Formats: sequence, structure tokens, C-alpha cells
Amino acid sequence: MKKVFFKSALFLLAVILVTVGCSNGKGNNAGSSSPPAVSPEPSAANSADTSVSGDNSKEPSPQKLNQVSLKLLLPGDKPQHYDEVMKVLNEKLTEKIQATLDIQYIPWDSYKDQILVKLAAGEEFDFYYDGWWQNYAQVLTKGGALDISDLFEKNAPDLYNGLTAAYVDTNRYNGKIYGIPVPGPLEYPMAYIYRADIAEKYGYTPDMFKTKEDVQNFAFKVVGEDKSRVGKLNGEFTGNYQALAFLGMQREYVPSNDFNSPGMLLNNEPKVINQFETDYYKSVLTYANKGYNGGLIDKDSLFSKSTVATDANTDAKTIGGIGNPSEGNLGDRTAAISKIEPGARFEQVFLEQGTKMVSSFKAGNFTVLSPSSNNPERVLMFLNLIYADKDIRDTYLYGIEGQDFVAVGDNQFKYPDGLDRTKVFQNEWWMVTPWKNARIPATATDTDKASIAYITDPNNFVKSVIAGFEFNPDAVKSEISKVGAVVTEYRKVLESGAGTSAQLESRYAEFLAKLKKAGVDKIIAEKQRQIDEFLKK
Amino acid sequence: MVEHKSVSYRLFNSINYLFFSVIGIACLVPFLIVLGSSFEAEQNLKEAGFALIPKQFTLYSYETVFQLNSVMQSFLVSVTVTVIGTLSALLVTSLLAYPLSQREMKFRSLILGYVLITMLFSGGLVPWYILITKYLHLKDTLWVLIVPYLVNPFNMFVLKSFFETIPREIVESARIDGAGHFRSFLNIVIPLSTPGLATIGLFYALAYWNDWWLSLNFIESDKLMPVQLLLKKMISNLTYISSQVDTSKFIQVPANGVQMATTIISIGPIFLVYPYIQKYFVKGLTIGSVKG
Repeated sequence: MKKVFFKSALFLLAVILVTVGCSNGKGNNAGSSSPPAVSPEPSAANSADTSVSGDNSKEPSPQKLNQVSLKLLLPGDKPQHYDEVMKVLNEKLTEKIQATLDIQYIPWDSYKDQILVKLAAGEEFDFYYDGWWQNYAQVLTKGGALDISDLFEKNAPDLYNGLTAAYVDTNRYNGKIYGIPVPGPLEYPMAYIYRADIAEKYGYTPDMFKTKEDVQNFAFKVVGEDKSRVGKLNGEFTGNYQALAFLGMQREYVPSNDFNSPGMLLNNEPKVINQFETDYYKSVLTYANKGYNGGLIDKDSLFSKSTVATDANTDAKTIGGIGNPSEGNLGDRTAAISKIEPGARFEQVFLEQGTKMVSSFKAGNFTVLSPSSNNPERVLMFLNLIYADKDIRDTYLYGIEGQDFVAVGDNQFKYPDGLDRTKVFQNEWWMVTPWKNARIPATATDTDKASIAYITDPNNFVKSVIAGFEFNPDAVKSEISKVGAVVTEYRKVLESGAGTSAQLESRYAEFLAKLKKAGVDKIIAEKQRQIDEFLKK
Repeated sequence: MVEHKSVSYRLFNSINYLFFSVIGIACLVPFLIVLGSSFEAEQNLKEAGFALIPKQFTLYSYETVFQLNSVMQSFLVSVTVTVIGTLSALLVTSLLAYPLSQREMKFRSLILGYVLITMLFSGGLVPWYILITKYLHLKDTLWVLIVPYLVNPFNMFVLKSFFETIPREIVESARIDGAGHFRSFLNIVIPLSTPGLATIGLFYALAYWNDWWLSLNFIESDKLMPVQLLLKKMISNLTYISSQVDTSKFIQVPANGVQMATTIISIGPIFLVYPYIQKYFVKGLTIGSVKG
């Protein structure tokens, strides 16, 4: 009896081990990187024509294609009415390219990791969104993007020509086309977005805001007379303080895809500086300190999670803030805030009108095809349709007309009565198609439109001396992570302006000393060395 | 007995009470603020911030949450997974722990070593992912939320040491009366082990209820999304929005009250489990301690 029990226990254990540890022999291509040539669901198609890849794809004609499903991964939350919109969209797509689309939305903060895991596991999906500010660089070095150099022009001719060959070439990596670049704003000159109704009340006109000091004096004046107002934006370093420090100067971060590692170029000269060590940066800390002690900032802001982005449509106390220019949502903000405080109105002024900003003219966002995609040609056809077919693009981006959006003219839209962004379907244009293809809110103000025109017009920008340069962090990896920790620790406190000026002084000195100790000079030197080498070529 | 009423004893006692009351309040207050805010009108939250007692009592947040049909569906998924998961995890874990608690078991130390190794090392995320999606084909099924957590080695060791405290004589006498291994396990050992099983059961129930990691990795269908993942998604997207300095990529944030209501809803059921299990839980905590 005893023996039987232990034998059976052992047997059970063995069975568990086998099922858990071994393949079930269904012949999965977990290790191999080459995708199977045939569609995974040949039975669904007309059986005479299952091999689509190869000769047929040269001249894609709808009749000869077999039905496929394309899977797209995007960060964010599944929009409202997803199922209904997809049904409509898929009918249209089936008609045009015999394909259906299936989107999986992954929460923002796990998106990067999930993409890497799925790529490493060889999971089958067709394409996904990525960008330099996400983990595009990592994906490229790990072979997570399909080389589409030979497929792009052939399968997505409208998109290719629309982007122009020159633009596509600027965004090549190691001479090959991986991601499809999505053109957006070239660079962000700083703008002051403020409550125009309050400004008017105190006798300010837009042309009176020329420097950051003007902005601060305005805030002092308002807060001095009306204690219920908050002078600056709530939240932690809202507005880019590094940009604020070099306001009106040509500035550029050394492209390293690591926002916390110091290294900047000024005046478009190939000389790398540590921006934290400059007088410019120090002056902006004094500026912030003056604002803090002058009562401009909500004292809770150091602990608050809310920022200009989270509170844009709910914060009626703040009178304005310096940051990236608005891209069409000032009208919506005005509408939302005037519900809380009647008469509220938002406008913006550019603080750097006279400066031609430096741009690499490279895209920040990409649509990337997965190496495990079974139907790369079809994905490109889909992207081509999104680019060229207005009807399909509208459905993909804005959902069903009447239910999710109301088209206003050719390039504007508004929400149906009583609805807002949270209650309708919407996908982000900057993940799939150029900005000029997207609609802007019909409520956008004139300054909104001027700003969009400004930041997309190449004539307002000069080409960076190091355009095309990409920093390779391998040599100073440990320094970067150490420096990154110091920067994260100090920036928030320093840039909030909290404390007395003496405290600020000592904290700033401490910050610089810690940066030195963490090896910041080595990073700067390495960046300089790589840039010098790049320029020699 | 007299010395128990001495000044130093009383002083010690009152400091003790004071100290733990403070800690207790510190734990309780944030929770109460969340609870209070979930009943507060949204406009007051914006203007006055979170408060213990709502100025204007409203069920609006809860109505909003329950109007999203995905919440009820997720709730059902979470409950199903927790109930089935806890029961099957208890079964599997005790079936592993019991034989390992018997000294006469062959290869006992070998198997114990094998279980221990899984506590110390793991293959990493990618192999695990490949195993579950490519070999076990569990992706996007209810089972993927249950199977990976069936055996927790730590829980197994706790249960094993609990089984070891049951006097061998009791089991032996059952054997003499003709009971086999299974019968003595089911009829003798299990009833004697309720404190241990309740403790481990609570651990498992908590693990299943609170888990969003499995669903984040393996669940795509909305119908199988547990409530914790909904919460996780909400917070995750919120963090992302907060990290944006510009409003261009602006996405509407769920209202504060709705966030609070979702939090309350997601902790609700598991909160109710504690009072019932607590008496076993205290006993369970003494597992392994020296008994007089």
C-alpha cells in the first residue's frame, strides 16, 4: 500500500514535470526567427490561393488576396465603442485589401516591457507603435523591427511618396528602413499658455509677454491682488526648465534616448556641455525660487501628482504656465474651464519667436513591423490606406461619424453634442500617420493654428550640425545610471524653487558635487568624443 | 499577580496601547479618506481636495463605475479566479506538502530540494512567457490566471511543517485501523490542519485576488480581465499622463471620485474574508513555535 502510494506520487510528479517542462510537440517556431510563409488560417481563405507572399504581392489585386487578420499593438487604453468601430472599419478593410485589423491596447507604463517580452518570445503580431522616447533604440539593437527596405515603396507607394524618399532616408537605421517615420512637430519652442480673461482684466495684452520675467511679473501682480489664484502651474517641474534656462537660444540635447543624462549643444556648435553646470541653469533655479517664495506656487505641488496635463481641463485656479505650445486644444480647455469658472479663456504666446530652433528633422515616432509578422505586405497596404484613403483614416482615428465625431470641413472635427474625449472612439494619429493627415479640433483657437503652422514649417528651423548622430551609451552605462539617479533626486526639488535662497545655493552645490562624483564628466567627454568622430566622417 | 499592577507594568501597557493605536490610526486614516472621497461630489474634490467626511454625500462615483459594464464582468472574473484558484491551489499544495512531511517518503530530500530551487532561481520572464503561451497554450484563457500560482513553494513549506506537527501516532493508529494513505490524509490530517489550511488559503486568496501581473501579460480579451488589472491600467495611464509636460498628448483622466470608488470596490470582497479567517489566522501564525 505504502509503496503504491509513493510510486503513484512519484509518477504524478513525473507527469507534472513532463507537462510543465517539455514541448507538446506541436512544432512551434519559438526559436526560429523566420516566419512561416503561408497564412496561419489558410482554411478561411479560398483554398486555391493560399500562398500570397512572393509573386502575387507585386501586383496586389483584391480578388487574389486571401483574407488575413492584422494585429496591432498600441499603448494606452481601449477606446469607447471599440467593437462597433472595428466592425465598420474591418468591413471597409476587407473590401479594399482583404484584411481585418485587431488592436491590443497595453497600459502605458508596461508597454515598453511588454513589447520586449513579446518580441523575445516570438509572439505573432504584425505591427506596433514605438518611438525614440519609448524604447525604439532598444528594439532596433535587439532586432525587434522587420527590415522593410525592399517592401516599403512597393506595397505602400502613396505613403512612401507622401513622406518623400529624402525623409524616409533621414530616418534609416544602419542604412535600412525599419520603422515607418511619423512626421509631427519638428521641435517645441516654448510658449506661455495663459488665462486670457485674467490677463485682460489686469490690462495685459499678448505682446507684453516677451521674456520669462514678464510672465513672472504678471503672475506676481495677479496673485498679489487675488489670493485664490495660483501663479504657476501646479505639479512638479511642469514646463521644461532646461528649455526655460536656455530660452531664446539654439539648444539641442545630444540624442541619447535617455532624458536624464546631461549633454547639450548650444548655438548649433558641436561642443557638448553639462547643462546643469551652466549659469543659465542656475539662473532658472533662482527664477523658480523667486516664484516659490513670492507665493506663486501651490505649496502642495511638491507632493502632488497632478500636472498641467492631468489638470488641463479641471484646474481653474492657475493663471498660466510656460511649456510646449498647444497643438489645437486651447478651445477645448476654454470650454471645459469656463464650465467651472464662467468667462475663462485660454490663449498662448510664443516666447521664442525670433529664434530658429535646431532640429534634426528626424521623426520621433514610428510604426514598426514585427519580425514575426506573417503578412508584412498587407500591413504596409493597410498603412498606405490609412495615409491615402480619407474615409478609412477617419474611421480608424475618430470612429463612426455622428456617433464619435462630427467632421468639420476637411481637416477639423468636433465631438457630437454632449460628448467629450472620454466618451467616444479615438486613436492617436502620431502612432500611425503624419500630422497633416489628422484632423484638429474645430474649437482650436487662432493661436492654436498659428502654433501648429509654426512648429511644422521647416523654414522655422535650422538643421542640427549633428543631425543623424546617435549616441551609443555602452561605454558609460554605469555612469549614466548613477548620474540619472542623482538628476532624478535633485531636479524635482531644485526646480520647484522650494526653500530659501541659501538652501537653494547649498543644494545646488551638493547637486553638482554629486554629479561629478557619479561621473558626469566622463559622460560629457564620451558624448564629445563620439560627436567628434561622427563629424570626421 | 500583584506585580502585574505595578507602575512600570501599567506604564509599559499604556505605552504599548498608545504606540499601536497610533500605528493603527496611521493605517486606517488613508483608507477612510479614500472611502470618504469616494462618496464626495467631484466638484468638491477639485476645490477642497480629499476629505474624511464628504461635504456632499453622493453615490455618483459608484454609479459611474458600475455603469461601465466591464467592471461587473471583471468582478465576476476576479471572484471566479479567486474561488477556484484558492481551492485548487490548496488541494495541489497540500497534496505535495503531505507526502513530503512523511519521513519514510523516498527521495524526500531530493524533491524538497527541487521545490526549494524554484524559490531561489527562476528562468526569467521571457522563458516563462514562452512556456505559457507557446507550450501550454494558456494565453487568453481563464486557466492562465489560475495555473501559474497553484503551488507557491513558500506556502508549501509552511504547510509541510504544519503537517509535521501532527503527531505521527494519530496517523499510525488510523493505519492500524485499516486506513490507506489517502483516507488518513483526507479523514485525519485535513480536519486536524484547518488552522494551517486556512492560513495558506488566505495567502492564496489574497494572491489571486490582488494579482494583475498574470492578466497584464496573458489576457487580451476584455471578458477575462480581472478587476485589479482595470485598476492597474487606470493608474498606469494616469502616471503616463502626469509625466507629460505638454497637453498635446492630453488624455482625459478618470475623475478622482471614480478612482476612489474603484479602489474601494476592488478591496471590498477580500476585506470581508478577514474577519472569518482571522481566528484561524492567529493560530496559523504560531505554526512552528514551540508548544507546551
